[in-house]
Amino acid sequence: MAEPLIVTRHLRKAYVQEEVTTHALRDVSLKINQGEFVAIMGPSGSGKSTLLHILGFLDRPSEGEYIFDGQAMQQYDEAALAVIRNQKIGFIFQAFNLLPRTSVLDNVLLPLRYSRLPKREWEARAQAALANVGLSHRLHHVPSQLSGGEKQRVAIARALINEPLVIFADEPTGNLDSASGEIVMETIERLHHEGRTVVLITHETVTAAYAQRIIQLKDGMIVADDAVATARTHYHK
Amino acid sequence: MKTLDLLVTATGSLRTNFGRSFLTMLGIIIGVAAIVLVVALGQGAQSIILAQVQGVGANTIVVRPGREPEGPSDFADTILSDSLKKRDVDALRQSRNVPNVSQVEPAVAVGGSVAYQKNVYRPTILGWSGEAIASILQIEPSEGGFFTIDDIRSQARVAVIGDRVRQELFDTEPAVGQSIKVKDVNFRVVGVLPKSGQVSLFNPDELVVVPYSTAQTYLLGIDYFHEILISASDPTLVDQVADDIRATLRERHRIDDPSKDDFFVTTQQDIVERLSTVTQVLTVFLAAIAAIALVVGGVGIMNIMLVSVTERTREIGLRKALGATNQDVLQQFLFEALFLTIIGGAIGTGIAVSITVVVSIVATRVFSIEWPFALPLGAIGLGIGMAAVVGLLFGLYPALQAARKSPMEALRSE
Repeated sequence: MAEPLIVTRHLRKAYVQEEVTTHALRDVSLKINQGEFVAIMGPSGSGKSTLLHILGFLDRPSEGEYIFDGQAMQQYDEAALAVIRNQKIGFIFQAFNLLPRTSVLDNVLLPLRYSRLPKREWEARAQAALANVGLSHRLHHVPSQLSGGEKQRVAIARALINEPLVIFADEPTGNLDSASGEIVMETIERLHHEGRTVVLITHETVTAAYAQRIIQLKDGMIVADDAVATARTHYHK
Repeated sequence: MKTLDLLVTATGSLRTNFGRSFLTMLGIIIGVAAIVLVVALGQGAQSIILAQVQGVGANTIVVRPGREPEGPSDFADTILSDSLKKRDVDALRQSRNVPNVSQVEPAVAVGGSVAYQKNVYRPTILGWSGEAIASILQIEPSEGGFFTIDDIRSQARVAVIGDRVRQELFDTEPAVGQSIKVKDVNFRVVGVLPKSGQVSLFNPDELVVVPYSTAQTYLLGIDYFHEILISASDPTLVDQVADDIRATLRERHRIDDPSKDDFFVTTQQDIVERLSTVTQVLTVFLAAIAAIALVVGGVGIMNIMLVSVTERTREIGLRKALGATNQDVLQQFLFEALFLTIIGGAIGTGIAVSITVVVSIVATRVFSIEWPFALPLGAIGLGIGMAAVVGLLFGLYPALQAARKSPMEALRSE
């Protein structure tokens, strides 16, 4: 079997705030293979967001090793991390984080503005990404004209546009009603079926149930790491 | 990011906050307008002053007694010095001493008033020659004529008067042939100058001109001159003629050391240079005061950019999460500040140039001052350039603040 996409060894993360040290991660070692769909679950304060930030190169661990795509994180400086975030990672956030008063198309194009991709390829990529989430007809709308579910699908299109190695989704259904949440999760699940690696953070069991594997985090440590035995019944495609 | 993308991003974020952006820009607009206006008007005023001075004639050279005035006591020295005499004038008229000279005219200035019957007026009284008036002031009497060389030789008590003097003394009565009192000495009016307004540094309307020899004997009781006006035959020969004048006078006055000269020579060029220096210093001084407004405007830019960076922390976090480097973020915010100040600078420059146009039109039409409008390209460049510098200086700190934000912290902020 090929090298795992993500390997962490004894990750620790401590924050010092007003002389009080908080241990967000205590000792996290895990492996995620290419093509996996992993949900990281845990109550608030369990360290799951911290873990996602480190895995997504938004933050650095205090101790331990993080190897992504065969390369250790320690060797990268800030500018190199920006390049990795731009080319190898797609983010989906709970609060969508679309630029207001900016068209759907421009929002989806945003990662390409920081890439070296020739401009003539931008439009086609954006069209394809938006078609993938079923929003081709919304190209020139602004986020305030969209429903919550549509906004999150725009965010998914934005995460796809650089054809990343992995998609990190941080509570993607947290701000959505259950019907919209279901559509968003089905979209993410379909991406996984198309071969993409997805790492999902959630505290909802229903949402986690879309994944193949669930990692339980508590007090900054992994307390359970199980494959989901049965495929979800309501996936029909 | 490419410049075009930066421009698109900058216009976008400024448009979303148009009112605020405009108010911030106002500081820059006012500052730049003030500087450009001061510089443009300064240049215009300078060209007017220089044109006035040059009206005397570019080939005119003035010799005055005493030392070149560098302080108040030197002026007194000039007035009291008796070093320039009739024989100096005669020597300067010799072409083997000073070649390339078309005219050598001595002059004396007389303080005092003139009277006709009960009318009294205080004009500028000069002891001069008819030729000097004709060639230097470029003016001929409208009634009567000039006094002649014979009048100068015989110290005739005759006078040519300016239009204002004529009006004050005679009102509508004919003046030529009448007898007036100049410092209680009777003079016959032989000519009246036409109304002409200010010519260069003189106003011929205010003049009473009598033969210099008459003025020396009857009005002043002196045998020396206050100045000698010399016209070079060609403007390009002025410096050479000035040197010849110095050499001649030094030889006559037996002066070996130029620092001990008892006279000084001023050319038109000297006066122009001195006046240019004065107007330039004034312009720079006023522009420096106006620059304070621009600095205040810059602080406004910094303030609003800091607010903007704080408000858009999440956006910064998002951009970084999607691959923006610190440099990308720095560029974006710096570009926004630059964009604000350059647009402000352009508007301010436009306002200042418009005001300059209006001033030139009003000056020409209403005050009949010759004020040719010239697009002050230097001032425009200065205005927009300074606005850009202010944008860079005051935009840098907020942009650095934005660039240094950690993407994770920025994404978490509410």
